[in-house]
Amino acid sequence: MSLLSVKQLNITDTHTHQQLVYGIHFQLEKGETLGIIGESGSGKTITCRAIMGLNDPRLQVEGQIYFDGVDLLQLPNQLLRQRRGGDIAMIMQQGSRAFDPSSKVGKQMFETMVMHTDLSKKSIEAELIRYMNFMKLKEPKQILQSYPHMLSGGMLQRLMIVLALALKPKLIIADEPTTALDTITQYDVLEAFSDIKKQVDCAIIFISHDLAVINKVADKVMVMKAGMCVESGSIEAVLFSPHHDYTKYLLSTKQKINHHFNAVMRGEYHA
Amino acid sequence: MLNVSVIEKSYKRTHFFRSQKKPIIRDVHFDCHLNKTLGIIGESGSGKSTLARMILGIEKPDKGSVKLDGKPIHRRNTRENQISAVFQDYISSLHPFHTVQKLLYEVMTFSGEVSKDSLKEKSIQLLKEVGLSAAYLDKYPHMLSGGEAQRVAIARAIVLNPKYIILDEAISSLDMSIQTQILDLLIRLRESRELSYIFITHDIQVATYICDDLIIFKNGTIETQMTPQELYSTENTYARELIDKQLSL
Repeated sequence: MSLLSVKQLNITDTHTHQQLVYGIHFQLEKGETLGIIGESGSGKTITCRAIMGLNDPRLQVEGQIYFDGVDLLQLPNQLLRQRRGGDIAMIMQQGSRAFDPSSKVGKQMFETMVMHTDLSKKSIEAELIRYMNFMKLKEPKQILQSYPHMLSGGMLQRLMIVLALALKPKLIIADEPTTALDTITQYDVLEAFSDIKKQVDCAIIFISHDLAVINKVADKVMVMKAGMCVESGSIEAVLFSPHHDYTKYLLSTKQKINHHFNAVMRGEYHA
Repeated sequence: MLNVSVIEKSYKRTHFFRSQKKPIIRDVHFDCHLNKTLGIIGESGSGKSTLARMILGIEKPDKGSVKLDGKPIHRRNTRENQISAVFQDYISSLHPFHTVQKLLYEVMTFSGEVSKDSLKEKSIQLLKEVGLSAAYLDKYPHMLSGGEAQRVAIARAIVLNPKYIILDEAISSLDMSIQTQILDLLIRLRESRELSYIFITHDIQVATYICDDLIIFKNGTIETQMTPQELYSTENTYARELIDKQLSL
C-alpha cells in the first residue's frame, strides 16, 4: 500500500463556480520524493493544501486522498489536526510569514513540538538543537531566543525544515522552499533535502517552478498546467525526454539564460 | 553619472534597555555609467536593498554621499524624473484599488509633463512598449498575473523618461518562464530608451545575462567588482563559491 494515494482530486471555487484542479491522480511511496512543477496559478499549492486540509473553506475538494490507508477528506477536523504537523508537515515558501513576528522562534517551535510529541522540554530542546546542527545553523541556542525579524530569510527557511524534521513526519510537503533564497542558501537547503532523503525515511512532495531544483531533489515529477496534470513520470523521462509541448516549453524557458551563463563560465566570452 | 560613495550606514537596534548601532553598509564606492547595467549580487541580508534605498534618495548614508551629476540625490529636485524603481513585490507596489490607467495617470499628472488630453494616448503607448494591450487600462492589480503586474510596474517606472532605474529583485518572484520574458523586455527598453539599470539580485546567472558590470556584495561591503566575462577566471573565493553552487544546481 502506498503511503499517499491521491485519486481523482477535483477542487472548485464555490463562489465563482470555477474548477481549479481537474482529476489529479498520483501515488507516493515511503522515502520517495515527488516534484510538482508548474507556473503560478497552475494549482500546485492548492493541491498540496488539500492534502493538509488547509484550503480556504470556499474551495470545495472532491476525490480521495488516502494517507496511510485513511481517507483524509473524510476525517473530522480534530483528527485531521492531529495528523497535520505530526504525520504530515508543511514547509511554506516564505519563512518570514510562517512565524509569528511577536514571539521568539524557539517558543513557537516548542509549542508545536509539545502539541505533537510526548517529549519533555529538555528533550525537545535537545532534538531541535540536533536538527539545527544538521541544518548547519550556527549558535542554535541563540537562534531559539531570537525573534523572526532578527533572522535572515534563509535561516527562517531552515528553521521551518528543522521543525518539520524534529516532528518526524511520514510526509513533508515543501511549497517552493527555495524560491526566495539566494544561490548559496538555496544550494545549502537543497543539500539538506538530499541529506533528509538519506537519513530520514520520509516521503517528500517538493513544489517548485525551477526545473534545476526539481532535478536535484526529486525521484519522480508531475507537471501541472491550469489545474491539470499534463505529464508525469520519472525525472529522466520527464525532464530529459519530455513528450508534452508544455513540458518542452518550460524546459526551453531558462535555457537561454543557462546557455549564456555556461558559455561565460567556459570562457567563450572573453573580457 | 551616478556616484555612490557610502562610507557607513547603520541602524539602531534596541534590546530591552540597551541600544546599539549596527553597521549595515561600510565603504561602498562605485560609479554607475549611462546606458550601462550594473548588477549588485548578494545574499539575503547583505544590505543590497538598503543600498537601493540610498540610491533612490529615500534614506541618507550616515557618512558619505550618493550624487547624481555631482548633486546630492536626497534632494528631491536632483532625483526628480531622473531615477525610478521596480521592486520585487509586484502585489504591494501597485495600489489595489486603482486601475492600471489610474496608476499611470497618477505619475503623469503629478509630474505635470503630460497634458490631460494626451494621458490616455501616452498610457496606451507605454503599455504597448511593455507588451500589454490597451485592454489592460481598465484592469485592477488583482486581475493581473505576476508577469503582467511587473510589466505595469515597469511601464510606470519609465513614464517620466528616467535616466536610471533601480531593479530591486524585480524578477525574483516571477516564474522561470516569465523571468526570461521580463529580462528580454528590460534589455529591449534599455536599447530603445537609452536607460541605465542598477540590477539588484541574488541570482548570478540572471545578472550575467543582463549586466555589463557586476558588484559582488557581502556583509554590507563590496567583495569584488568585475565584468561578467571576468567571472570565468576570477580567483575571489566568494565569487567562486557563488559560481560553483550555481553550476551544481
